[in-house]
Amino acid sequence: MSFFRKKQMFIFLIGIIIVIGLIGYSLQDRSKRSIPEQFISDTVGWIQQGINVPIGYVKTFFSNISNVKDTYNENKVLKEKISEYKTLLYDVQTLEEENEELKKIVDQDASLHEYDSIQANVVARSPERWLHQVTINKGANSGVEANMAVITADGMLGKVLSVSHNSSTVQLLTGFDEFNRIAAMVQRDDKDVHGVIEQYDEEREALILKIIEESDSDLEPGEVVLSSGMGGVFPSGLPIGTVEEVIPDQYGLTKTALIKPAANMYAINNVIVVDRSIDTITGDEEIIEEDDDDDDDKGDEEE
Amino acid sequence: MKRLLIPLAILVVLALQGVAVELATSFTSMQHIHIVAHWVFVFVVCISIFYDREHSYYGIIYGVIFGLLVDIVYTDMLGTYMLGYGLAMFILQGVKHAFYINIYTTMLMTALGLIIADVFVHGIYSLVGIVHVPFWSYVWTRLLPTVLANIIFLILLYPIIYKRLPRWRLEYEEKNR
Repeated sequence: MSFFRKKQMFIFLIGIIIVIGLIGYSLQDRSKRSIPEQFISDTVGWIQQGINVPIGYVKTFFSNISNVKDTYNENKVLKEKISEYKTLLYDVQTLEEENEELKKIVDQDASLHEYDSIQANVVARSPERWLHQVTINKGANSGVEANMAVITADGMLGKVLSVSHNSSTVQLLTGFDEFNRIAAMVQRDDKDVHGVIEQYDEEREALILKIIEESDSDLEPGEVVLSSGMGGVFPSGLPIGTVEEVIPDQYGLTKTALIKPAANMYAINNVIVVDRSIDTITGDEEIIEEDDDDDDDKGDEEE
Repeated sequence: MKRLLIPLAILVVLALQGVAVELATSFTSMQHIHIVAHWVFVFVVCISIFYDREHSYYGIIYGVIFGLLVDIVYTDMLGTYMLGYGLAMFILQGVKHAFYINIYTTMLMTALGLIIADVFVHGIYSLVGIVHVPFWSYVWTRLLPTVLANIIFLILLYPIIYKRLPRWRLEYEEKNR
């Protein structure tokens, strides 16, 4: 019996050592999963997609019913809007043409604003609700990479955390911490307000936007915050949320704004993974290099 | 074949719990009460109660293996669920002989195991710094709803397996005699 107890103790201690090792390993910044992990999450993702097929039918059936109810009123409103859009469409076309011509003149083929989109569906949500992660049914085989932005029709939802072959994990905005910052801005006619979305505040249920570059006029509740693309990963112009409240930070030097996310984090179905057209910058070095280039250009002009 | 059926069933439950959580959050936007689905764990507890003999350790082994799978699939932080489920199963293994087995004692043991596992996971996560929630608010907003919701899953699961698992065990033992 005493031998058995010893053996149990031994196994228990080895278990603790293994677990501490695993936790340490997984706390590293890993953008790509190891092969066994990919295999397992692919297998589970495959089962989940199978389960989701009948559920999808039921879901669409019920949403169809509720859609039919609203159709008449919506139709009225939409007809009015279409007549407005026709003039807008003409404007947009001329602007696009003009934009392309201007781009040709300055020899720029891709801008921060452009992106390719990959359609995907949410198949599961992490039962561990501390982490705010969902699984989508597209992976590396469809061109999804880690750190790509994920959006819904309403606005930004989160970013791709890790990728397997046919599924990937998305970190929702509500789970963003200080390691996942987004460069953001509020568009103004004269001078845009720039800032950094620092993290999600669970108590206030809002994203915290630290304002870096203040404009003459303060932010007001209701203004739309967009991604600025200056963080080097996301494209610019994705709506993140609306300003709820502006408060001074704890030292009173800068201001922070509380942002209500535009996308609904709880009822998600179809998402779009955004692949930025311009090359993604991963390190700080390349940004510095770009700055150097600018300086050189200026130097040339002065000469 | 029937030996393979059990791990396969747990795997399907593992996949199902993610889908169910996604469905539950999309239909009811509960933002203040958080329910964690520990379906895999509930299933493993049932296996420990209805399938294990005195000196077999299927419960602990399945707890560790599928805890690791939960870590891989849903959390990206390996080891927490593995040790949490393993530890809870280890304690249950010692406790379960004191009970006469019926649905109420099964519920009691599952609740005990759920509390051990969930508190353990919460402890690790606050140690690492992923969550910053005071203990008592965690108990009211997360632990209690989680235990209740998973007990409901147990009540649904119980009629399906409480005769089947002992039968499979007997068949397996007769074959190996």
